[in-house]
Amino acid sequence: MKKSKILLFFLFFTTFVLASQEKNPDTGSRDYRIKAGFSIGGTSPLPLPAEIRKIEGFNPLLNVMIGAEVRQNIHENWSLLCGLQFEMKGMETKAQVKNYNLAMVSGDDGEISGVFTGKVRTRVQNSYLTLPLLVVWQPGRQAEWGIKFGLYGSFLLDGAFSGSAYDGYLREGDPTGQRIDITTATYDFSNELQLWNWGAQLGAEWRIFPRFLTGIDFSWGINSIFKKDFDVITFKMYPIYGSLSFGYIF
Amino acid sequence: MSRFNSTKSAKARKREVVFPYFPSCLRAFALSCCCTLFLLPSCIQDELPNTEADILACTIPDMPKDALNEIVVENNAVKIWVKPDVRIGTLTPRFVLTEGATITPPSGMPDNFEETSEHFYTVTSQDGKWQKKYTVAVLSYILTQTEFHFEHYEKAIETANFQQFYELNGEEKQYVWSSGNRGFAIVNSSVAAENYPTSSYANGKTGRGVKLTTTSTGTAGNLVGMPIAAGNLFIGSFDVSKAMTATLEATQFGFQCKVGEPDSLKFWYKYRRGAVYKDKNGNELQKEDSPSMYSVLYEPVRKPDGTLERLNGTNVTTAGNILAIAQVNQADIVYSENLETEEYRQLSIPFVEKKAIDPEKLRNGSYFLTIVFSSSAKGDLFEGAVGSTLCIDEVQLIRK
Repeated sequence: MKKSKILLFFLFFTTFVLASQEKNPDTGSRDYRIKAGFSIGGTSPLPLPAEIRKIEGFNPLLNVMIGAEVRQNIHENWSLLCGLQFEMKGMETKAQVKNYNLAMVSGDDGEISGVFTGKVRTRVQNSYLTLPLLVVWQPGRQAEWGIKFGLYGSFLLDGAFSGSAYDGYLREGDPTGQRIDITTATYDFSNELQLWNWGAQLGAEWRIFPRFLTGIDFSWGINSIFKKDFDVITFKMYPIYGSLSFGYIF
Repeated sequence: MSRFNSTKSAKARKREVVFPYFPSCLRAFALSCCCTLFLLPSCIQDELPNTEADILACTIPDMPKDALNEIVVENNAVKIWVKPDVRIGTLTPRFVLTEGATITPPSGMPDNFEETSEHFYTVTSQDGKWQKKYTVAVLSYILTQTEFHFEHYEKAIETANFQQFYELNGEEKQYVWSSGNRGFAIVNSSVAAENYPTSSYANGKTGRGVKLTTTSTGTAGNLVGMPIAAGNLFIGSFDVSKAMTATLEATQFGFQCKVGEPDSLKFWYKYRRGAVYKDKNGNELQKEDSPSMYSVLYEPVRKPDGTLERLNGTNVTTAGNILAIAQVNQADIVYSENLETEEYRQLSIPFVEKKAIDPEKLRNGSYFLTIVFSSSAKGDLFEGAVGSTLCIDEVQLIRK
């Protein structure tokens, strides 16, 4: 299942690149770019579930992004944009929660599970290989700016989702279960992360100098970052990030 | 690039028009950051009604003066410990509940505790979805026996396999012995009863005995900084809500007793050390594990609210209100190679008087007594060797 998905992705990608290589003088210019930037955002349930009572802290971390892309002009107002980029999506939050479902470990080696009320610190640090497939609208063939939108697919290269529950208490099983006060207990769901993530992307780019480009992009994850059968966190979590990047046009 | 090869004036004009866009791009970016940062917190939903259905506290204003020892509120029980030989009639218990929760019968309703010692109350959560049944009971165990054989045990709770021991006073089961098993169940509830740190042991000195084993708490235990659990058995009770925050205070030692003036603590034991001694952080130390075995007679301090304060893990051997203490001399312990084949050995530890014992208080049950065994002497600080095993049977309190 996973392999066929990967295959499909690369098939799509290569077809796209090959198709765009067919030279047609009427279809306008093509350019290649390399770019680098940074992103800021959150990996969060949407909307925030009622279990989350207060966000007490947010650290966007340093999420760098580097990549290459090719833009093929196909029409007076339209271009196609395809890229391949390495990007990081991470953040750290501190939140006050009430009745938050929690399991510290699952498996044969014991576990603590139940309903937690207190504070939760979450640190997400995922790095992805991302392939955006975008359509660019520009006011005219010679325009310096454009608006782009489309989809992206991301493959998780390295993922970390961990944190701790602290200054609170756990009810074993359900809200009527035994109350156990917790000073601090750590958890790690890194192994429960979904390998593939896809979503929608919206952005704008602008050519500040003949060979220099800047752009902003927003990406919304459409599938949860966790595997389908992962039920410890009862709500789905989506990566929502914005990035600012600078590029060089060859 | 071709589009920049236009006439200079056009280019210049274009730049003039285009440049102001650049800050607007940044503005948009800043705006989006603000959205992520501030929009999400402002999306916090309304708080849902409470789901918990707890009795948080219980007071009994019409309790006869000095009759009350302690009110212990557990997850499904309220235990009203009173002095033995006190006649309890109608009581009007008042309950403090989780915010928004309701209780039936209502708080402040008089109830006759003379005829039936157990009364049932049901608490319903604010959201109406959860209910919890409580047993409210007036209890007055008094330790009168001086011999313990550990023949009686049962499965302690529904959700885990561990056992608890009890003594029989006629038909009545008295749960005077406690252990930290309930704490171990938080991190490792699924293991078999005999793999808990404290369990009944078929191969006792006479009949069944008790086996205490220093056990690894596994990954979950490590995550909460409690890598091991020593097997322990003590007269007293275990407050599981404190098991992970104030471990030493979770062990509440002693019950009121009428056992006369103790002379010595006598019992049969076998002890084998675990191989690798580690501290709380998992560092290997060049130390050898040893068991702890002691008994303490003390006069509990009366708290301002009139209830009695029991000794706990922080002060059980050091408190100022200890009257007499019997502690094993580590040099007297003989170590076993193979617990299954080796014979039990008997130890007799004399009580050392710390303070004058009042014969009248001894007679009327004002003093508390505890007996404590543990497979690792520093197990309460999560220090010891996994595998250290202490087998205990036929415990006797010898009177003067």
